[in-house]
Amino acid sequence: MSFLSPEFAVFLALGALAFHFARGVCRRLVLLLLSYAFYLTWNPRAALLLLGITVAVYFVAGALEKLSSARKKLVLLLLSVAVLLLLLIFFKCAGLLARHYLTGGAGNALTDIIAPIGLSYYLFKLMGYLLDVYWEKIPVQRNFLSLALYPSFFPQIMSGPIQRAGDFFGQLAQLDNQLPDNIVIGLRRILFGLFKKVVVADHISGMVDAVHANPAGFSPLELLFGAYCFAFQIYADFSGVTDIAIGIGLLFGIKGPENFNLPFWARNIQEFWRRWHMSLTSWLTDYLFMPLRFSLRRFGEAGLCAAIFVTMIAVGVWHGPRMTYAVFGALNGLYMAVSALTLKKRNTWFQKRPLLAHVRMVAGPLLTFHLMVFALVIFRADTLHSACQYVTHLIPGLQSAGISTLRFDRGLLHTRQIALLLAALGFAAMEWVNWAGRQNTWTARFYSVPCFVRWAAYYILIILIACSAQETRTFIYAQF
Amino acid sequence: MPSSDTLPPRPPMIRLVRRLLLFCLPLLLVWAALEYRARQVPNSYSIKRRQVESLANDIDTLIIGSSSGYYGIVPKRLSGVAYNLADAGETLYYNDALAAKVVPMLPKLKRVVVQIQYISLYMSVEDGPEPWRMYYYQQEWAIPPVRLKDRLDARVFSRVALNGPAGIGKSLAGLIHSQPYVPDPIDDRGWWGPANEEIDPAAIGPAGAKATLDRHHQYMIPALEARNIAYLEHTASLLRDRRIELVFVTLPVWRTYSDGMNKDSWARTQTVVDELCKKYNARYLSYLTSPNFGAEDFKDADHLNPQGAVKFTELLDAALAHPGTNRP
Repeated sequence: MSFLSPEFAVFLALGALAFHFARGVCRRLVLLLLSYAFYLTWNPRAALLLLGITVAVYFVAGALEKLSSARKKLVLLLLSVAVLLLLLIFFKCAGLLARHYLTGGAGNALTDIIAPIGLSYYLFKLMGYLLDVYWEKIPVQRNFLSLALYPSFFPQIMSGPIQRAGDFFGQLAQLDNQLPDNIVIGLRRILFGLFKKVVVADHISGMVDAVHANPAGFSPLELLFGAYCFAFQIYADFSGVTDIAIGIGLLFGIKGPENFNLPFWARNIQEFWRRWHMSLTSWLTDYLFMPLRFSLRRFGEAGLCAAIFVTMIAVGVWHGPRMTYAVFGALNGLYMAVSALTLKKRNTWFQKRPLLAHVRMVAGPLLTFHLMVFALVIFRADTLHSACQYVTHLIPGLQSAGISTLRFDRGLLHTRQIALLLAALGFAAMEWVNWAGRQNTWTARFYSVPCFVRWAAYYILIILIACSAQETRTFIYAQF
Repeated sequence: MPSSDTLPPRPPMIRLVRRLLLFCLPLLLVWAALEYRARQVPNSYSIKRRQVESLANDIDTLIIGSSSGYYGIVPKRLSGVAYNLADAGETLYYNDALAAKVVPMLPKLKRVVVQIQYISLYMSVEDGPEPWRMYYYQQEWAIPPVRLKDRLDARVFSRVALNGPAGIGKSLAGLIHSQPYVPDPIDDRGWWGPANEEIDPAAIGPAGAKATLDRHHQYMIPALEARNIAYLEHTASLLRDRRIELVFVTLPVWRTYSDGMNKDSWARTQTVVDELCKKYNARYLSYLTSPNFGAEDFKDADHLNPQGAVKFTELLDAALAHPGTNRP
């Protein structure tokens, strides 16, 4: 069941009703039942796996607390994290490896192994929980109901955000203090998320698919346009599903963490990664980068670069066992390392040249955006060969014979003028709302306008979503 | 009675629920209007259902099957009163379910023609290229989808959800302009017979046939064989119990298509049908590679065009008239 399906809307409405009629522990029970019911619609066997892993983590966390020997604690922690990581690697890679090395492309039981939906998200949540318990950042969750709800919480299981255990359990304890305002904010977030996904992302997805399917068949201008469009598509798609997840969470009294903070306005690459997929990058910063940086501190800048590279490659391969993801991570590692090593010097240089500092204010975000557009071309390509082909054909003069540099054929791009216009206006509106939502003055202004004006805006959004909805009901980040 | 000043403030949650209901009311009204309008738009399923209901007391021959039968058998060219209930993408599950629904409605029914093609034993609508068709069967014929998860899909209940945004646009336009929507050209006996269809020579050429076969092979699932044989058995036993003649028919395909067929799969299909014929005293008329048809009789590699359909139906009528004819 997808967030975009009408049956999910019915499921959500009935679930919210059941939740609000329940009290105390029953609310958690209702949430858990809803979460497993939602997950069962994807794959019943995957729900069993999730339950099994949750039970194991419950007992491991209990043992971590009880063990008195620090050494035994560490061994248990490392073992359990290794098992969770191996599970992730197994489900992500088994099918691919079997197809390549065991069966020579033919199908069998091994090649049919597909990673259960949401596996990367809930395993990271549980690993973070075990690490937090080990570091004594949070107490062990003794209530199995609460622990089982943490990885399976249905708004977040498909595409995140990756909420920290302490934050989640803290809010779970306050479930009975649900405010009606949260429901209104939640519904508004859901509507806005649907708008981002259906009106912005889906209107350009066909064009992105077309240029990546056969880069050699397109002109440099079309490929450039496709590269920009993918950056906008993935941002609208992923921030859309995050908005929906946060909105649904709010209906049930749980506020998930934000995943995006105007990333395309970041002044440098480090800032970009503090604003993009924030729940994953902050998770990797806390549980991978910081320990690595600490253990490599005696190597100075080389240690910093190594920690950055390992973390960024982890960001890349978290998406799946594909060379393009690894290269995407390594490329961002390179960007980050260069940026981190030169940032102080650049700041000093610009401080002495105030006029150029103004230029930097504009050039910084532009350069960062274009570096990410380039990296995302590699991320989106199915293979490294395809990525190279895309990049090569982007260069004027290296395109296929018979294709002019400035050709822009909307028919070949599988798009219509109205779809492009809607996506462009939608993206502008989306960024403005994202920006204005962070300004207190604009938020106050929004609440001060008459109710019927706000309702009219909501109705317009609903009509736009209804008329733009397509058959595809998947989010890009649901596949990871 | 306390004055309004002394009344306790209304609980905020109730106020919120009221506001939500008020907000949703216009949306629900628009949805209901669209739903009503969308259900007025005819489609091949609704047209055929109405036609069968109106001809129920006269029909003596019923044709069920997929697109090959829908395009290739002209009921008016058959003796008696025949009706073509076949439809594009119709699989054996729906053939059987339709037979179970329709046969009891037809008091004069003497014969049912069940079309069997190369893909018949190995296809299902839900795993095929056009799964949306199963929702039309539910909405028009009350035939539920096979899988439980499909039975819970919103498209089972809502025509607006089934039609999608394009359908919403059409329905809105229909609401505003009250224009009738004209679906496939279907004659009053259920045959799809376009008068002026352009023939594309490439469609019957090797490349066109290969593209069709590749598509078919992509959706042919060997594991469906047992299930589909069970549907055929169910249809056959239903007809035997009612003493209605059962005739299996395979329509011609152009040689570019038959040459690329998996011979084992086709041999297996023929064996299954032969066994059913023995068991249920049925007949099997296979015209798969009949020499009576040339390239000019096909619209594409595996479908007859109107000219070919007329020619085929006349051959079929002659064969049906002679009870001994088997495998002409």
